[in-house]
Amino acid sequence: MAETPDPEFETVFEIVRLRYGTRLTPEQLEDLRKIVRARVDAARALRAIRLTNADEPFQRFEPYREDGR
Amino acid sequence: MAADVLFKPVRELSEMLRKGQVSPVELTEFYLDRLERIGPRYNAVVTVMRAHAMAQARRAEGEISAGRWRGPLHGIPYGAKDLLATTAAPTTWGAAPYRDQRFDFDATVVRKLEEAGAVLCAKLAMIELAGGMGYRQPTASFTGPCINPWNTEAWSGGSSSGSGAAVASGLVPFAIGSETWGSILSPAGFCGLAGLRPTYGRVSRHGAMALCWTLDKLGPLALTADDCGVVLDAIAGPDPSDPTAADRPYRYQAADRKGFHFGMLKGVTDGCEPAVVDNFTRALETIRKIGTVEEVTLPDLPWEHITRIILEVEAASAFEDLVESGGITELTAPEVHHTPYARDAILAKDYVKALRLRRVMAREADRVLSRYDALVAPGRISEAPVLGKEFRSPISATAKDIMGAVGNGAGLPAVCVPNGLGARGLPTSIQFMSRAWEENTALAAARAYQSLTDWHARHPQVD
Repeated sequence: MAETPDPEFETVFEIVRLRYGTRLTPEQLEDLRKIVRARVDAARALRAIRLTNADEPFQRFEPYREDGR
Repeated sequence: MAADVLFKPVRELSEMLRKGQVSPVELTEFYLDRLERIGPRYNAVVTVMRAHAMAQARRAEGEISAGRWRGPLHGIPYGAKDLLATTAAPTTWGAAPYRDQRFDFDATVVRKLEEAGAVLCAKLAMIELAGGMGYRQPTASFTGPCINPWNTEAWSGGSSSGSGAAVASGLVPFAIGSETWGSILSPAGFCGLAGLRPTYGRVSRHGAMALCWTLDKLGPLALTADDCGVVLDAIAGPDPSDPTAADRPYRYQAADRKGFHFGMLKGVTDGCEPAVVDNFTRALETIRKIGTVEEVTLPDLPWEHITRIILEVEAASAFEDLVESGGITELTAPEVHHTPYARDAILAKDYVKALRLRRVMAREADRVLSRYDALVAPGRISEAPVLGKEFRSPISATAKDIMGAVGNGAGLPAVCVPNGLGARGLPTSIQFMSRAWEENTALAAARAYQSLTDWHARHPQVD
């Protein structure tokens, strides 16, 4: 079955192909296409969820002092 | 000796040591012999630390003889997953490129266990880089596929593979493993053991290989839930060398209790093998003798995607040099010679979105868990996979695992214990996942379940 055209997927996959394509066999590249497509779909699923400005990342940044004070 | 100590829980061994019925030196020699003789059969061991262990055992013997008792782990042999830095042996991370790697310090967990008087006997086999490159089959370790002592055609689970196989085959009474997503509960469940994944930040990660800084947790595998609590008591606590180790005191509370309130996610057995479903259903009947069970739901959000994106992005950064240099071609599993490159396709904004949704995940999980002592679920969806074949995994998105995604994504504690045998004679398990920092509640539930069952008293035929 032919893939549905997906310019966003093709663009991010091109990043992967440009960076690492010379290291890969055609079979590995094809496997990577499937994995990248799944990752793009996953990212889309997250983007579809609306959050507010008040929804912060669950990662607290704390300015550093070596003496811990 | 074997009849007296083999497959005895840590607590019983500790009592024997305290009463002088066995000495730390005798006990250590017994387990060292098994590690050397039987360990290779299961590919469970990377390095047996005989000289180091005997020195620790002799010290323990002298102290115990002089009445200087350090606690329930004094003189107890153990194994450490080979991602924990040790000065006395290489720390290979299960991966060929690091087979000769050495550190000039001990991981905090190793240091704490030494302070507790435990005897480090071996560095145990693991999936290379704790599975962080995305493995799909058991032969993903430079020491070979780790074999399940219950069925030598099956995998022991991973990535704490050797920790599972070694305790299950009586090579050590307990082991330290790690979990980013599944790596303690998998080998514990597949090998018929108790495995405890503590709350994120309960145990210092200093000196442990980092796969994913915000998902990695260290915890014990042992024969009983009670033993897991005893070990956690020794290794938990703040650490100036690890700013993520929480400044929260922990003391294991072993008091029995009844009247639990359990929740169970709707559809939690979907996709599980029939034997897993059957054994879980039977376990629920037992659990209803110690408490109530209610079906609960979480909002319909892409939980696995959230945790998977966090894992993959942080792993990509943690192993940036190895990946970009092409060093991944030296790893054992053929699929990881290319799959890590896919992580470059995840955009920064999507990672930050995952972190924002992580807060939603944690809030929703706590909203549910605040009403219950624990959520119960099958520990794994199947019996241990067969060797030589690809398996289904939530990390590679070929299996669902909401409990694992939420439990690890939100940093929640869980303990799994055996609940039966499957069609191929391999263990299945049940897990109890509690609210953050409620390890004692999860352990109490698991202990109560084990007081009514005897699956933990069954062991594979090894000798």
